[in-house]
Amino acid sequence: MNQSQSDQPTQSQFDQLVEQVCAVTVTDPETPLVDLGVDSLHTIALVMAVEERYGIEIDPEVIGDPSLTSSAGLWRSVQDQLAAALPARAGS
Amino acid sequence: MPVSDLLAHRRADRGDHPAVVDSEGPLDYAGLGAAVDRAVGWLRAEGVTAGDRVVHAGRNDRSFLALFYATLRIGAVFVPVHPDLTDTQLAHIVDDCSAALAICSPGAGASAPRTAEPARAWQEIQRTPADDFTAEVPDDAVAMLIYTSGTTGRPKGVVCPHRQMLASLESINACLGYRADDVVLCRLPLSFDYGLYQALLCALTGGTLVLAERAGDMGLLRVIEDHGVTVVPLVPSLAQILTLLQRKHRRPTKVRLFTNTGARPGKAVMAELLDVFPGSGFASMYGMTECKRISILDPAEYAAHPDSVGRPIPGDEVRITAPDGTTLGPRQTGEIVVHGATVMAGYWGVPVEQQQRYVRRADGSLELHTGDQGWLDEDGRLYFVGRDDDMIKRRGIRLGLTEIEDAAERIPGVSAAVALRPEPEDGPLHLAVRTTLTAEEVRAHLALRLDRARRPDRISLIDTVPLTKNGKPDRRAVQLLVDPPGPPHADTAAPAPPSATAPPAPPSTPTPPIAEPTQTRTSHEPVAV
Repeated sequence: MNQSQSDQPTQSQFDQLVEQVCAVTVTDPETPLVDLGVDSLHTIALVMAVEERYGIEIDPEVIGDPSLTSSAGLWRSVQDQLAAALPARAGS
Repeated sequence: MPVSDLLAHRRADRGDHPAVVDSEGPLDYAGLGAAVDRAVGWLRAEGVTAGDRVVHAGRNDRSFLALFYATLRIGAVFVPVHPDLTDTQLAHIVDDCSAALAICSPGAGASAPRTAEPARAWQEIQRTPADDFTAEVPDDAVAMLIYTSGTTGRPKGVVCPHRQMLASLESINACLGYRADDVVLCRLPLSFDYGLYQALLCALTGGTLVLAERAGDMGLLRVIEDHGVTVVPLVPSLAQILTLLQRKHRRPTKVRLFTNTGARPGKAVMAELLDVFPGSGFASMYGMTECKRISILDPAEYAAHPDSVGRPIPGDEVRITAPDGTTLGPRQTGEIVVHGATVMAGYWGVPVEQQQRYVRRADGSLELHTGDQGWLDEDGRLYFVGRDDDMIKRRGIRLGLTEIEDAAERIPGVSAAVALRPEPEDGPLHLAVRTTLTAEEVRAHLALRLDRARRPDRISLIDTVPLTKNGKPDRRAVQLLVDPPGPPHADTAAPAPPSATAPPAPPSTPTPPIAEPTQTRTSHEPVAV
């Protein structure tokens, strides 16, 4: 949450988190997690790890079935949440 | 009494109590009964009569239950199949049972005289006038065929008569004691017997069934809290998910009972689950579709006998046999053999002498040779040790490694396929293939032929297939061929998710230290030659 612009994590860093938690290889960040072979348990573990890492809450009602999302899709929703939570920092 | 009478009774004495909650909301027993009346009218308009097979590839919702009870009420045979099966897998089942009606995708149901897509069928049912027709159904009539994987070839239909299904329900409930005020969370597919029997136990006792699906796992705690869930049937991954969620959120719940069958959650996971759901107990169970339930451990005995799957349920007897068929004494490990009221009536369309697992006794009744290894203690508690080499349980689905090999060998250009036994059982599935195709081509073909649970995580190409002295593919030798012993894979060191996600230990083996999985992690590298 306290990252400056320069050390904003990138998609590829986010992919690494996905790979670590889910024990898969993210061949393409746009591939749905389920098609990478991520099961339900690891999907939940991933969402919880992401919540913890970025200090956000991901609403199950909003995200729907998280395994249908991709690494890129999940990363976009993380960025949306961070942006919404930190309006004052938007221009910094 | 036909199984469908369970619902008729609750409709009469508890009409205004919620029977089922699905994504549309609650539906009481009177409402579910009314939906069954319409479904009876619809099925009869489709020409379904007593004895006909009705294949249904439906999701966890009220339409599933309406079609289930309606099919049984007209004396027809319900054949539930998992909606994620591929058209090829489904077509085999439609064909094998000579279905009169296939409620699934038109492509998969092509060999049935009539086909209807599930969503369309439900729309039509809701527009069909109620039909109060109820057939005279003898207790020995077939209520269901449940297709299950065996050690050879393609799935076979276990013949489930009304009599055995009712006997199973009464015995299970004598052990578990579901109550009229229970709210049972069914996140297992209704197309599996463990899931469907939750609906039947609710109908038997007058409780409420809450239907969930895998896609809603993130919100499971909210479901448990909002609906006042009291009973949660588990599979290992669900135990881990609930532990993860509840460890963080600590919601107050009314859960009083967890049950589990098949591969069990690791002891550490179970201990934490029971801890984060204060007031809950755990009934560890064992069974297989061929006779539904075999044994249930009294939750009060779990602390003292955590490795046992309990005593045989009332009406069933279990003995342990040596390879020569003689009965073994206490603490001697052998094959688990079951006889009694819940043993189903064999496999559909397979002559009894070819049934392998079912053996006819002198009195004419069938005895089930489970293929599983286990032992009994002096007090008659059963301990499950392992299953046939060919059989594994993966994502809650029992499957045969030969099925995966069989599917791969049907691909033009594949001359041999060997599926390696995952370690642990829920671990990555590795298929070695001798072929002129690339691993990616094999993967693409398999995706058309196998559902997700049966698709390999990793495909390796091999030039030769080592054989055992019996001339069968030698899985261990193939394993060494594709994964020579040596330094662990680089990705072995990947940190595991939080400790509750440690892989489930196979029953009988010591629980591995949590958060330190030793197996090679899933790799999606297309080729690992």
